[in-house]
Amino acid sequence: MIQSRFRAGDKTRKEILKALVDAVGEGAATDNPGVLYSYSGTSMAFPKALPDFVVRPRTVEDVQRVVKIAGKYQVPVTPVASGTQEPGTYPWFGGVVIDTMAMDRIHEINLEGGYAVIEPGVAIGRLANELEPLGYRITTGSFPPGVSALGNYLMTAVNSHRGSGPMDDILGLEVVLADGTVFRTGSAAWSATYKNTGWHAPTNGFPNIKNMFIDSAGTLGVVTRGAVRIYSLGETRALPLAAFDDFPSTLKYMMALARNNVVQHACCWHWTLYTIIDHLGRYGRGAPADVLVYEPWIKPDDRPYLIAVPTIAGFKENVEGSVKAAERLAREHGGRPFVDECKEKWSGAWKFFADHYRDHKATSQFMGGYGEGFPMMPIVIADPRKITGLEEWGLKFLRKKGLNLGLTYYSHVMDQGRAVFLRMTPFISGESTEKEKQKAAETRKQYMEQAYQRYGAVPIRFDPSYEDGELLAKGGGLKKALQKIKYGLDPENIMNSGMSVQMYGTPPKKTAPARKKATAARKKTAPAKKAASVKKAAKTKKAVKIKKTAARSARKTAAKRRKSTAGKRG
Amino acid sequence: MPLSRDNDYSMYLYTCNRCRGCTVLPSPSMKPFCPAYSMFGFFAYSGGGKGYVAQGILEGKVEPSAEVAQVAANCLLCGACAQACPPGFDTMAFIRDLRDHMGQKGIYANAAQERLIENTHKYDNPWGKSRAVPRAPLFSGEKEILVWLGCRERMRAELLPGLKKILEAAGVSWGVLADEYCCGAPLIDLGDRKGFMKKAADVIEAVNASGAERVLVLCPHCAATMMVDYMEAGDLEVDPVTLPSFLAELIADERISLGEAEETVTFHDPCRLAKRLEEQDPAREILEAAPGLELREMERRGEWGWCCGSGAWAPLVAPKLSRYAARERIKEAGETGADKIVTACSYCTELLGRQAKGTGKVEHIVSLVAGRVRPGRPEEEDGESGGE
Repeated sequence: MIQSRFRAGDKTRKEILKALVDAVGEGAATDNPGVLYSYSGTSMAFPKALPDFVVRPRTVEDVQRVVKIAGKYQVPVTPVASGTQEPGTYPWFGGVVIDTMAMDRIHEINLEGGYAVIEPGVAIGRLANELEPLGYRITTGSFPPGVSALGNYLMTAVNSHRGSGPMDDILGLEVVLADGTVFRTGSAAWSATYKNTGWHAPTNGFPNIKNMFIDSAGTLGVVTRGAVRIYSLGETRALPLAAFDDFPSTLKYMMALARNNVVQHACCWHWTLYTIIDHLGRYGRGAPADVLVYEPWIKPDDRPYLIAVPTIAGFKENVEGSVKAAERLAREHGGRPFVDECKEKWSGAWKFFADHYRDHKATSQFMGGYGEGFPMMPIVIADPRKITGLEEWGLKFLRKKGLNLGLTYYSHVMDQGRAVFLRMTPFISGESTEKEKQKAAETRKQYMEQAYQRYGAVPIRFDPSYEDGELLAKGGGLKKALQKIKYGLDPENIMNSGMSVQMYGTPPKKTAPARKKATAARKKTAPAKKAASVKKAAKTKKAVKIKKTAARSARKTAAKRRKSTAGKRG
Repeated sequence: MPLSRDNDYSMYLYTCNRCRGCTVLPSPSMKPFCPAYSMFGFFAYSGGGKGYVAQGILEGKVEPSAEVAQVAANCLLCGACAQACPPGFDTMAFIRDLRDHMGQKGIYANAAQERLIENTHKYDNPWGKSRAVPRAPLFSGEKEILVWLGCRERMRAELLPGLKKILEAAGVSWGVLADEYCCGAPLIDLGDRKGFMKKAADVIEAVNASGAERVLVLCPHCAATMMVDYMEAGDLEVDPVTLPSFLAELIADERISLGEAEETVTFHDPCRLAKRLEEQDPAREILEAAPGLELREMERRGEWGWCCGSGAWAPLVAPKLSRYAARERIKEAGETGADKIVTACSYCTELLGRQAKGTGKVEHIVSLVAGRVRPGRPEEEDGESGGE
């Protein structure tokens, strides 16, 4: 079972590379060190982890062959799509990175069924562009167009961009397990036997295991295909922005909108964040200085503390009514309609909001801000009753800890306001020393601990700053359950081995009492075994005796016959 | 500067978010834009990915080797990634420095890369041929413009016949330097920054000493080198002008006009002109001034144009990539239904022409203009002449 970084001699490495090339084809497998490093991690401030091989499969059969090779040679396998930011995409124990971006087919756009069947290499922008002329869209969040749609939907963070619906954009998945088994979840499982069965339902009468592969960071299997929900763009769309001066009021407003299905989605942008996005919309890159000068809980002028962004779409009559309701609710919660003012004063921000939340077009506007520092994003899903405390405490805590490059946040309601997403975004300077980065990582951990303890929050992404299995242990029996699932499906820990050890911990070794019990059981059965053995031996002896007697008798008979024959001849 | 954490681009090496914006045209098109990433698929071949490679070397996690040099060399230095990268990472700077870093250690992608550098030093041209005598009048101070031929034109004189015709029609007095050096572009592109700085200093000195006020630079590679890369090498006092800009200027100033001929063309933007120098309009102004010419644009054009495959000496250093890029471009040009591809770079003309299998459907803009050129203002029709 893999519990440490992959190591092998040159001969074995050559064998593995040859096997991988045979599996996926020339040019689609490499051990070129330059290529390897580009899969060693992301811009997150984690130490890089170098893989030993990278492969680019094109089909599910390619993936099956790769995992079988990995199993044979005990090589960790880390599946990656865009590989943007997530610690799960780091090949912590080296081995093979499966870059799934070459699997980029759109298999089906099923308008009647409301889903599209895609491979992990299909980018958000591409799928959105395919759907738009058909009057449909996908969930785009604030993501750039070039990243994997399926890869992103496999994370709850992206899967939650519909305040008025369930947190799930995936109907079904096709997965390759560590032993090469391939299967589909939901209704599509039946397509193995009944060719007419599609992906229309996430269930099939058996335990629904689809969600096991969401947020699992490739530790349980390689997702090779998925059916993602697509939504009608609506006859018309509206974006009745509202301005607020505090988070509690904004939250109540978003909750009222989502709980009553007035909007498809509602999120809010802190002043430093919309100031940055506005700057990016106007100038393409960089960040304005005022976000660094002012404390994040104090705005520099009369700009709103938060801009709430409600997404409304549907028939003309519905939309008109919903806009009126949203405007009324904004006023009732202490805010004010902000569309015209935003267009006039914050045109760069308006452009972004309209592109992403009204028209559902992915753009690279947000990406322009990269290069200004390392994002360090403690993200939680919190209890709506407690999250306002986390916002107030969190900003001050993170600021106090010296993360002064920029501090901002973003929030949205999930599942009709049953939970709330809160992403704090401090940045670490590119000139930061390793010690400063370490301090930042500790700060993040302290923030998360307080978020769990005091504000009823849960993590939305795995935080590798914890000891192996430590974070999951906070879930009590969940650790045991998930360990059984993980190591039951993948007893050799092939799938994303390093991440698995960090997430689940290593499987429990046999404890002393367990060993005693096993010994006792052996002792208990020993006399019976002995008796059986004696009986068997006796049987054998008897059989041998019988055989010997028979042989003697046969020899005597033969001798008599020979004598008798000899007498007749003589 | 050598590859270093102290460079302006250092921050970008560490903050690339792998959004892959550098590899495609902006949404909604999202057509492939980076030939190397499009062909190889591994992230390391993208602009952002090469930043990771540079980071790995700086961090001591990647040992420079021929294999790594191959990743660095499989890039056309077309500047697509720099054009498309949302935060504007200066990808060309760190890709060149990455090559330079390995070149300093004597590590090259292949023998061709090393040979091209050696030839440039030894023969003042990358092909290793003896210095050619310019087949053109020599420049003297009273002439209007100094013409910078560039290594290729000095050797092959592909443009000179047409150019002579145009300049004669325009009444432009011109000349070349008796002793023209290599501008240094092969060195900075292939990984010899130190050698480039020396060449650049020599060229700056020679051009400054010519007494010219303007220098017409025929080759887009030389032009981009002089106009952008020389900024860190010295003070070029003479004003460089690109060939399309100069021809467009002659037309705008009515020093030449173009005769009528029916043809349908598409224009392939040389990367160094369109992306590095942001000059995509002058060539189109020329084409628009040609009566009877219909311009059918490709989707990937201007600063968003796809490289022909000849950048950074790829036909020799990264031949597979070069052929791939050229094939794609020919295919895209074919989709416009145009009879002919017009471009403004001899390297693009040659490679696209070869890929178009010698059908003669690729033409340099100098040749197109020379075929139609007439001196001065076109004859005005009766009744429209001046009314004094």
